[in-house]
Amino acid sequence: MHNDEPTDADLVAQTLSGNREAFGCLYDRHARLVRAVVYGVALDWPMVQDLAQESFLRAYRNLARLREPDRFRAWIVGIARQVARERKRGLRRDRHEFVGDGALLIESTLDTAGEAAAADEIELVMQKLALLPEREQLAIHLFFLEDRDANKAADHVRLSRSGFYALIERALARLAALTCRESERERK
Amino acid sequence: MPCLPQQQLTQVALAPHDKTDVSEHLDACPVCRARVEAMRGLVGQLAEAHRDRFDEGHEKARAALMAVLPGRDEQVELAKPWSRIIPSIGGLTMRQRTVVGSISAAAVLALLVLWLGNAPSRVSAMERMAENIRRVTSYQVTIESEMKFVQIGKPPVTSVGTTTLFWLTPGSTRTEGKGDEFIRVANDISIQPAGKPGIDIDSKSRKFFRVAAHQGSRSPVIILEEMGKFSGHADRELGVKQIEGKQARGFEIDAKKIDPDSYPGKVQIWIDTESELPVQLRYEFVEGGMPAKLTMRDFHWNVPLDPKLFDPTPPEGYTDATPPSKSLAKQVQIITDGLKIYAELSGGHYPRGTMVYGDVTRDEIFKMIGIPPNQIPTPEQVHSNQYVKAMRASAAATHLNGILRDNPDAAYHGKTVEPKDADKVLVRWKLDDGQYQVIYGDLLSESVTAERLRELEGK
Repeated sequence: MHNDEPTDADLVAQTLSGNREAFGCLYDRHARLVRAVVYGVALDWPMVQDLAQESFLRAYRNLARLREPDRFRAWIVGIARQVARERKRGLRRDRHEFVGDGALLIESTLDTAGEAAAADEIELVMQKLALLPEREQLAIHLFFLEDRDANKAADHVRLSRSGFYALIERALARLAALTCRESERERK
Repeated sequence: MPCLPQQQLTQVALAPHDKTDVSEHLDACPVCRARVEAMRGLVGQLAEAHRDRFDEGHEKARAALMAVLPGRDEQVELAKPWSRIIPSIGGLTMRQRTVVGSISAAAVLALLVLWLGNAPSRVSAMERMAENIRRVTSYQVTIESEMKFVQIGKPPVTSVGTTTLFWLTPGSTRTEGKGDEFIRVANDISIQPAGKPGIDIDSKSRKFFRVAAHQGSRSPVIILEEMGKFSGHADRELGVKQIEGKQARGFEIDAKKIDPDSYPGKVQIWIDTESELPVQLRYEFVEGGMPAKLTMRDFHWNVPLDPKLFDPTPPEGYTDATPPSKSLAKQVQIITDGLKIYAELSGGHYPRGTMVYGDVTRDEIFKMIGIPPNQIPTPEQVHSNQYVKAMRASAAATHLNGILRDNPDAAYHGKTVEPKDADKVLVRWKLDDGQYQVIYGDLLSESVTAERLRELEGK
């Protein structure tokens, strides 16, 4: 971030003093991560956007309760997780809504069978990712959304670089095992 | 030759250029090589999955969010819950301090005592009242606040908050706050035992926050001991009227006479002619260009209060959400950055006074950069460097205010020390190790012994 850019704490303070546009800036910064967090429980992309919006609305309404404005990112992720959990519970209750294992998320504009297969594989990975412990899911999202910059990602989860690497290695190992098991099942 | 553990293979897949220590093994082990390749494939898929996917439809979704964000009048919990404000008496902001401080128990005591000797024609009534108040061992009072908030493109909205304050000698407080639809709060509880650390309890989220003991400097408005410094005069008598079934005699005084740093306004006190104790206190003032009103009513003097009410032990099953304290270096950086910004914008001086407040500083800087205090800044203004600087200076003032409030050996010499005064102490406070942190006029800083501080301050 450029030195002259407002920090998250600045933007929180501005929002609290009545400036909604400042909250829009917070949205610009953190919406990607929030969408990633809720992605695993959504049936389709509009639902991802809805859940992300719900997360930000809750944050806006409760902003004055945020004790550490410079930790807005961690806070909004916590809210998004809660929204995702609630959605998951809702899906369990309303199974008739469950129409397709997240497959609707796959883009329908793929040109070739090869591209479609690759997209299927990526989708499978993302589905399995949603089965990991929340902290490991978050580590993976942060790592890849931050262009594999472990320092930046580690800062968000308050870990040292080595601690973060240990976390992401565990997560990847677990994810590899899950996807591998799925592939074997498909082969059988 | 045993195969490598999965975690090591993952390391290799994540950092392919840093695999020298296992490259020999990989060259010789097709199983591990295949597993590394599989892991690399997985990493590639994850990278691809995160590349653009989560940006999709961002602008449209943003517009949709902004369209449904509640307006200030529909908003809940946007403003600080009153029950959180209460324990920050003299703390975070001038607004909070004024709001709460002026209506706090100590304020009543202070106001009454300050009138002693300042209004000769009324001195006997005031004297008796002050004596009565000094004898008080406990009380309970309801505090109502009514404030207006500006909104974008809409008329200002009035918000009402109510707090019940319990006070027990020698100065322990407990507050239980409620808000209206604008400031909707849970029945939060704040407990501040006299001279000891306190606690804020958020019953809605079942969290608690530890609060430092308030031992440092406070506004004369709210501190009894400071009242002796006051040398003004009560302005006028308001006559006699019935309040809460009691005959009460009223007096009015300019708030600035009590505390020169307070917002301009009038303080009215109504005193029960029988008990000679206050029955109502009202403070009307203007903050940020908007009128505000605070009323203390429904006093219960010398009521039996269980000392357990002031016990700061966290409730069972609640989570400790106290934010970690900032390092000394970080605190110094926040303060010096903010003071530097203020001096740049003000043309070469720091906030003048012996106490600073975040919102007062913010309003002063807004004025310096041409933003009226009662106007919501435009997006262009918000993104301007000057606006960001104003907010940083405000944050610094808030932080400094907290130090001055909580640290009995803290001092700020903004009245007399300027940026050119490299050898003069601008700010100082005592550290846990007994030394003093000093920030000089030129904003350089160091830790010094008490003896050295005395030399520096010429004592």
